[in-house]
Amino acid sequence: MTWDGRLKFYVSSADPDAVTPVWVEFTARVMDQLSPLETRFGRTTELDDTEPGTLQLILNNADDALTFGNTSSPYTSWWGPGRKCWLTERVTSAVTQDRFTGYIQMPEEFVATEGIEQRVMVTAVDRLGRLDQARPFISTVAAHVLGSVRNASLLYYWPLLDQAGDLVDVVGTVPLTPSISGRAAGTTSSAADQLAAVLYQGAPTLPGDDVPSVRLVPGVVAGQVAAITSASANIVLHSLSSGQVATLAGYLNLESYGIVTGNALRMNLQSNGTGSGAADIAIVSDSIGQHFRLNLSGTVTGTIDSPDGSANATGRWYALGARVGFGPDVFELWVDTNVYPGTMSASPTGLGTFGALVSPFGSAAHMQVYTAAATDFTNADFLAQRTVALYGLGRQTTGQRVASILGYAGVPSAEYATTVDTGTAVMQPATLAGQDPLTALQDAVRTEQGLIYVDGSGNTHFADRRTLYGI
Amino acid sequence: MTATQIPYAWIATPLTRRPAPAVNAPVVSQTGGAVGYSTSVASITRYGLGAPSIQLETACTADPANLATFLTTYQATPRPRQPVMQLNLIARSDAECLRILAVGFAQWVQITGAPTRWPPGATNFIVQGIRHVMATDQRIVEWQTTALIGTSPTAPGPWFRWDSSSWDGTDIRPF
Repeated sequence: MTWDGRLKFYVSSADPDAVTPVWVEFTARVMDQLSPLETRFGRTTELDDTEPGTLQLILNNADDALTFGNTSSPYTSWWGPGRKCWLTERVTSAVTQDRFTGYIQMPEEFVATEGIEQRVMVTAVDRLGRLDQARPFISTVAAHVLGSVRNASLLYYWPLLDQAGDLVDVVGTVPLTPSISGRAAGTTSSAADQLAAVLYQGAPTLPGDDVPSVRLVPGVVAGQVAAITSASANIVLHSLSSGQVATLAGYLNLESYGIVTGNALRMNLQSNGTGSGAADIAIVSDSIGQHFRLNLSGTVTGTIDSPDGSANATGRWYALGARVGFGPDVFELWVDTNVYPGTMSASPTGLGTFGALVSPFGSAAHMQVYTAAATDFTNADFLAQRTVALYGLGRQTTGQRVASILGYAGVPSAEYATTVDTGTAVMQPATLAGQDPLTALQDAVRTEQGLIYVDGSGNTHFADRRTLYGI
Repeated sequence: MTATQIPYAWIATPLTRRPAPAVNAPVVSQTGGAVGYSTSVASITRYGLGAPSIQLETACTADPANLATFLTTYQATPRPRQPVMQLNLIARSDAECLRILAVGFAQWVQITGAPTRWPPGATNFIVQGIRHVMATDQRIVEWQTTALIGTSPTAPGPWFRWDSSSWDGTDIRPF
């Protein structure tokens, strides 16, 4: 390394998404005399999509410290693909600039003479490249649900979508399984009946979403109700401390309310540390007509009746939420934009959540259980999610869409909050299902005929056409 | 928009110049909606077909036709440009290096002091991509460039503005 301290190259030993990287300097290993360092950003013409930025360099590995899998290396616990790297350049005695911030790809090792002439060719990609390799979005609403979580408050999330017929919990480890039972008689039916009761085709899609939901129909025996429920083997109690709340949120589209006499969405709760209980959102029929009710059972009980659902409980989507907590004692039913507070029979001294059950005659989607501080998933968050479920990010400007996608993909807001232009074009509802974040970003950029790029410090910029044309 | 001025003498040679391809029959589609066509027969006859396909996720049904028309209006004639321009920082002073390195994406660059034989459009461009080469004995900055869009090849616009332009005037209505 002979460049007189002008360039410095670091790799972080911390997780790539760590808020504070832990930089380990590798400058002395850089072999620029063999091959220059090279960075590339941008695109060739204004009609092209921006390619991810890249960095290429060669590191000296004569001591095998950068040999992937070498357990005697001081870097063995963290060195490898995916790590964050950083290249700086001192331009003048007073000015140093970030030249590249990105993520190492699979390093390529060369051994010419063992222990003497060994090198590692490192290629890194910038944030756009990392987004190109990110997990595809499940659906537009799922992207919002997963991308809007604060402080790890989302405990369970079952998208309940018609995608490979999955009922997986994409956050926790509690899958749901189909079941069918005759409530009145307490009988169960065959496995074939159970599978037939959960349908993955022909179910409606939330207006703002892009994957149909699952549909549950009654069993072949009169009185039987289909359900999808967490298996008992997977049930884990999550205790809530004072100041925390448990929130159930989900979407229902009922075909008939007459068959559902019990719960439609359930969050199992253990109150005051003992026994079993549940917070059930049900559609009930009584003297005030058909309406949604939140029923809290167990050591602490309570009931909230809402007037919603009387006139048109079937054939439309409802956004529903149930909120139970202690210190403060919170007990609320949310139906679309309405909030109905209630009172509990006693102040709970402890709560735990452990699983869920869905059993409407109709369709359900995006069932979520949050357990955290009351400010971590609020009614405002619920309403924002409902807006996405209704409109699917439609009417966003391109800049708003870029910011949404970056947020959903987990990019820290500090990396784009002040560098994304508003945009001039107005976009259609998003169709994020199956798309990786970079593809979704490029759709927005192309719609704007703008330009997206990542600067040397790792900040993502979006230039709309006002900026590009100099208007 | 103001241009960053770069003296002609700073440009590394050899320099390659290749006009921007003519766009004369673009097909612009709105996802699930309208398709916009615009054709410049004269351009196709003279330069050959340039028919990029562009997909827009726009909510505005007029956007495809507007973009197609915009492309054939301002890009149907090949525009002079250097697709790639290199500058060698080793030969430059600190202040000159800082001026070159300050040029970012979407920025207008103007080459000053170019030979009079240079086409005016070649001395003005927008930076679309940047490559850095760094080693002990070399320090190169390379720009990928596109030509300006405007009634004059040496300045962008002038763009249509509600408070000063008129519908029958010459100000450009941007896509």
